[in-house]
Amino acid sequence: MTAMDGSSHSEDRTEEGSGARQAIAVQVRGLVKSFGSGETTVTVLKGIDLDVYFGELLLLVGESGGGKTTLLSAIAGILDIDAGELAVLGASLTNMSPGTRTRFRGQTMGFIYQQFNLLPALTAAENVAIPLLIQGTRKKEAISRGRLMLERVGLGDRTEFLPRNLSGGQQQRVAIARALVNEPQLLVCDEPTAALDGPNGQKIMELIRDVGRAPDRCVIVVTHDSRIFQFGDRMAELTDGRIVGIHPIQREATA
Amino acid sequence: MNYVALRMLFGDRAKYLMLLCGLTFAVMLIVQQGSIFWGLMIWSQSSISNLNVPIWVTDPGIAQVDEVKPIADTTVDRVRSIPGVEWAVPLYKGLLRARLANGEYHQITLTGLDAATLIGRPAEVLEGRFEDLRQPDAVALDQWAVERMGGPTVITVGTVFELNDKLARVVAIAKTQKTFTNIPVVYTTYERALRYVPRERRTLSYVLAKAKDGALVDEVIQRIRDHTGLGAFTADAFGWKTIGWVLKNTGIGINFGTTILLGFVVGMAIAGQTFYLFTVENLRQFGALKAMGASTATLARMILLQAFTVGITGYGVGIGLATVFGLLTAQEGQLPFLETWPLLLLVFVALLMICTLSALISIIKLARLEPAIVFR
Repeated sequence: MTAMDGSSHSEDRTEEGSGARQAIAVQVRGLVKSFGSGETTVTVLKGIDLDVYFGELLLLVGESGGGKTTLLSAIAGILDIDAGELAVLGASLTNMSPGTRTRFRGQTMGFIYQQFNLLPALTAAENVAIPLLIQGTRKKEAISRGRLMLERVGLGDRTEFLPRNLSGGQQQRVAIARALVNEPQLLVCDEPTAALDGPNGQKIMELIRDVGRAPDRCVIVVTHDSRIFQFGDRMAELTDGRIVGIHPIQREATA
Repeated sequence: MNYVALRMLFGDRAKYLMLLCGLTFAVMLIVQQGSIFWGLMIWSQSSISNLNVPIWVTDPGIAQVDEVKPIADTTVDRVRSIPGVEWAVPLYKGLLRARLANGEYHQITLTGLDAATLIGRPAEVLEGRFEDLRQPDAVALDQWAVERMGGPTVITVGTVFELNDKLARVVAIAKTQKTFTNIPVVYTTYERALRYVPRERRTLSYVLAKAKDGALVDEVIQRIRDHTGLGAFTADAFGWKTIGWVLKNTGIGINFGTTILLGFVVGMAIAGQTFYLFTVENLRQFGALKAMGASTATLARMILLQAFTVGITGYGVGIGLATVFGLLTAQEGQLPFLETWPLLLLVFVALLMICTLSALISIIKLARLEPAIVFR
């Protein structure tokens, strides 16, 4: 039985060097996605095959319009696909009803966006608490856990600040805390450093690497910022809707 | 997520205030216009309610209380003879001109009451004694007559004026509810009223009656109709008949209805547009919530909570402002303004409709929203 059948991650790989087995967190086979209709149809993903393993940070890179964000959206279950198979954390997203998929996302995934997407009227702690509130956690407990998570990302002294009173880097830290507060197994990040300057981008990626990469978690980051490539374990390059190369990142060379 | 919804609503103060203003304006306009309309309708049947008698016997073709169609003088005795009738008295009602000592003329409504019982007299007397109507040439006025005819310096208890070249002396001033036409009302006895007015073959305007205790009023009314071939109504039914006539023949219903509808449409437009803008501007945030696992139903509940919160606040503020308007402008019955609970209930239902429809536009937008928008 494979992940496509909805069972647990059974297809593993042997980690280079250590010999340890790594379970598959995300398995994509023959994924096709088009936009528009008739003569204006544009096929953005043209048969993608990809495996993402627990414990790794995968970078999706490539030219603009290559399909990186579309692939990330499909993996996150927020975009319907036209063809192919998609298994995430052992469950087939292809066969899930929209409602089940929404619940599944809430329970298993964390999101980090380029524009942070914090609610401007809510304090940092309240923003972090949102995924818990969506899951039905009581407000007091959710905000309390939000504060703890903010301490973990270095913003323990900014819990009651509104987003407009935080710098871009601090806002992204809040977004990271929000993405992690419900202990997701899959962290999806879309250009997390695009709105930040170089040093802040580096710090944010260090944070994502430190808090996001764990044996029971995997992180997928869409980026075209070559300065942060060093934080990934592997890099998948998309061009014109196809993966043209997947290769490990040599840390010694990039550090 | 209710907490998040309310924080989102109150966090965008400009939009919240705009929404609140729109809904408050709509509620205030509907309540204010509705109250004035209803006040006017109540005024239109004041000639009935001011007399406070249970049964009115009229010409069978009567349309409304101010359109007097005289009936045979023998009708009073015929009604008295009908089983179930406790008493029946005559009433004269007609228009006449009064000439004051200063030479001014005023059109008045002359009301002639049964001299023995004075049934139909106003309940509250402000000056003088209503019983003095039995004295020679005695008349009583309502307070609006004093106001219309020049005020207390011109006409008061003891003042003498002429009705159709015959002497009339004011013995009492009574408090009544203003009438739709606001023509001064002059009370006197039935017999004296007939002396004031030009001679006609038929002079009896109405017969006022009461059913015996224990008798069913509807049955007695039907018996009066059957025995006399005349019209007979309870005071309420005659009042509604008069209101119906005013609505049908004056266009007042259309005028006020249009304004009330305008209030509804303006409220709907402002609330709908502002809500839609609020949703569109927060689309990425809503998309983010969807991506994080918030279902469309959750977002719909958030939107509805926001809509009803601002709606109920606007309802309270709007009614408060309309009431203050009523208190300031309708003091002492100068302007028709009658705020009733059925009106407030209707406005509440209208407001719920405005809020629901406004929210629905946003909910449809959110239902179609792909959470992938957050990655664009």
